[in-house]
Amino acid sequence: MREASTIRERLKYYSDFLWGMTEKEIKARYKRAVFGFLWILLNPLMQMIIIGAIFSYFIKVPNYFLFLFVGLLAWQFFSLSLTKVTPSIVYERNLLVKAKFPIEAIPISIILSNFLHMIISYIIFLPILFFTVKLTMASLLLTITALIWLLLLTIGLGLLTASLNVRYRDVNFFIQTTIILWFYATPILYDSTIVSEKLFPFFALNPLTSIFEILHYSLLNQGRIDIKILAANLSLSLIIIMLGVLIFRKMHKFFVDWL
Amino acid sequence: MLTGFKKERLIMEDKIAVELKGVSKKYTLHHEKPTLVENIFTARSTEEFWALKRINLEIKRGEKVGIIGPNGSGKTTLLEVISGITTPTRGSVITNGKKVSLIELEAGFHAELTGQENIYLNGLLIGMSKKEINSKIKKIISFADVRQFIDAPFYAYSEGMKLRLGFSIVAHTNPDIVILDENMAVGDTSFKVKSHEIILDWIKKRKTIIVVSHLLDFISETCDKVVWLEEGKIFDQGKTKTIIKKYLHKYYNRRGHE
Repeated sequence: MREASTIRERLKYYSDFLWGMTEKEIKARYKRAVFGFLWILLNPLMQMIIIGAIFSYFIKVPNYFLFLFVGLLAWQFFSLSLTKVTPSIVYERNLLVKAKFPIEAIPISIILSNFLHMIISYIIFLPILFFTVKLTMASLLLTITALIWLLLLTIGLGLLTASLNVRYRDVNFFIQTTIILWFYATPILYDSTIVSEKLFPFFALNPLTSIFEILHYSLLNQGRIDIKILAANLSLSLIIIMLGVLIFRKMHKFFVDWL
Repeated sequence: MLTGFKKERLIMEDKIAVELKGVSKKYTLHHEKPTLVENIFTARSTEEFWALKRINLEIKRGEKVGIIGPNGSGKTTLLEVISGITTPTRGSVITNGKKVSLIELEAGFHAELTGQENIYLNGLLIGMSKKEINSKIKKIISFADVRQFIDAPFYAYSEGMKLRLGFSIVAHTNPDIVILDENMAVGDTSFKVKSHEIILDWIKKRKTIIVVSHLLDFISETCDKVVWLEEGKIFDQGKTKTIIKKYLHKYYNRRGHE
């Protein structure tokens, strides 16, 4: 009788559970850190200053520091999430062998907590933007769209790497290496207009390209959004998300046996 | 034997708490953790091991069943399959009602979080709703006797306090099916008495109870029925007294001590 709870109750439980796990992520992260949440801003801020000081000699992009900051906030979300999510299921071994619960909450809660951090960082950052560029409702909506795209892509990719990492622990090392290369392959330090026309089509292979270019475009009115690249990035993102969900669904029942 | 149709009705009427049909569980033994590269370049050296072989088991609501067997007979795997922690390789497991298992004790406890935060986390993990936890949190804290420390981070807790809090949360879930293992007597003497009272209360309230344990005395005291596992198969099952007698005969009398 009790099993026959309504769908609404189950959804309520699921969202409570996911939120509970996310809350734990956030709370556990800042216990005993004096600067607490500020780190999420300090980190990209320091990166911006260092990278900006060096690369502004080579890369000619207007408003370079702001440009960097817009990208670094989103990049920090993506790279932190992916590096933390990939080994997460293996790290939570003790939990998996003890209780039956929706396992996807482990990677998704990590991503959500990082996402919240990023959103707050952007909101803090907005007033600075008001002085430099004209923000419109449309540009804000475009920003939100790009961020949601980034969120879904990160969840899909995270589910994929976290699942595969249960079986092949190499995946974690692979991601650690890839993430460094990925940073340079994504228009964060530069905008894609400065890349030679020969290399430009390769951006089609990096689904992050359009996300970052949309962010630059919507927040700073800079950068280049190419429809072909956008279409390729969008379809690749969809494939990754579907693959992640499928692989996770196929493998999650047997995670415990592999840990 | 019941026909399929009748059985279905029994499940619908809540008479059957747990039903295992042809449950087998295969583990693949890896002698080393595989890496992608190894998998591509070397032939796999794996061994298959069947921890459970075609187990059919039906536990009715309110029944108290003990599961016994020597080490390695598949007791723990059976318990994990019933709890839903692992998925059987073959066969199906149906459980009817809210179940709680003492394996879940302290699941998800996080050293940096406070006692209160950990109650919510563990409660959610073992299937309580937030509302339920809100309404029971005071009782959980006072039963575990950790009120003084409830806002302190968990690393300040003693092992005993963690166990007590863990047990207290499980005790307040109001389960229909309780899965007990060697973990069941926890804490110091006074808490042992308290936790034993909870278990006795479950027994009295006609909860379905599954005990996996070497504690034959406890099983003789509480169970109506015993399932004897041997190498992943059900070797024998029946009335507690008869089975325990046979079991003792096989494992203890022959050696003449213990």
